[in-house]
Amino acid sequence: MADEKQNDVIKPSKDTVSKDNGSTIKAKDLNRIQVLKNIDGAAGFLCDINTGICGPITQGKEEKE
Amino acid sequence: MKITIWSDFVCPFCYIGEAHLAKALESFEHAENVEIEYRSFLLSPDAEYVPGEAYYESFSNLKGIPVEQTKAMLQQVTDMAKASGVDINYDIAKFASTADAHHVFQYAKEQGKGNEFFDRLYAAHFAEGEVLSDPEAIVRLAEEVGLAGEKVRGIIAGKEYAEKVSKDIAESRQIGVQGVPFFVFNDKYAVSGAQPVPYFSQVLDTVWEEEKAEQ
Repeated sequence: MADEKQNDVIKPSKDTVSKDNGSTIKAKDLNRIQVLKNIDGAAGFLCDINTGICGPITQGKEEKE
Repeated sequence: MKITIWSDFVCPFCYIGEAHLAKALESFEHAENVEIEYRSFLLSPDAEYVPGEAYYESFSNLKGIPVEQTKAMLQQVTDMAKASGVDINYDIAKFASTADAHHVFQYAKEQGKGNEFFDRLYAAHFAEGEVLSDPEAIVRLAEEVGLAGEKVRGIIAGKEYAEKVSKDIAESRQIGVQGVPFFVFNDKYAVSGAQPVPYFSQVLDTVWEEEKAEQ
């Protein structure tokens, strides 16, 4: 698969915004656009632009951003 | 609200992710105020269609991934698509470059048919086994959404829209895109990858509330 670290869980950090419904979004500055992260356990899936390989998003991949 | 989506016609998680976004929009009470704009991305610009070769074989050969790993990846995609109500069939899908199709997409966008063309090519690739590098297939699909066939033939031959495709890709790199689909809300917030429907609903609500507060 795209990355072997499929079971990584993105954990809440200080810049996590808690929502009333219990789910959370983490915002990270990326130039002028903030990337929102779903840290509820469902990390999502994408196709890597460098390899073209598709699979689960892992913490390692997100850190590259 | 504006949602900009970087995607490729052959990106399965783009197709699935956009289906999730569409479902979230069905229950979003301000959906009529949402504008979606696609941007080009070439996931496998060096892909070449090999007649008679299975998708997994072509993918495995080009990417240098073992066949069994490729098959497992495609099966995961297929299973997820099924769970999302999206029709993806890698038994008939054809691995091919989408460069020419993206040139035509840029023209379709100018004609106000960009989203329709994008959606048509998703289905053509994933469910109908169309070869998206085949000029005649592109022309036929373009005509189906109301574009002039002769004009489309000229665009494919002339490559005059290549610069617009390159510009979209360059912008994606400028903002740090590492994978597609990549959704940007109001040029401010981004969601990377195919996320669950409730997550898109949450983002729509959050961005809408912020947009309203700023007015």
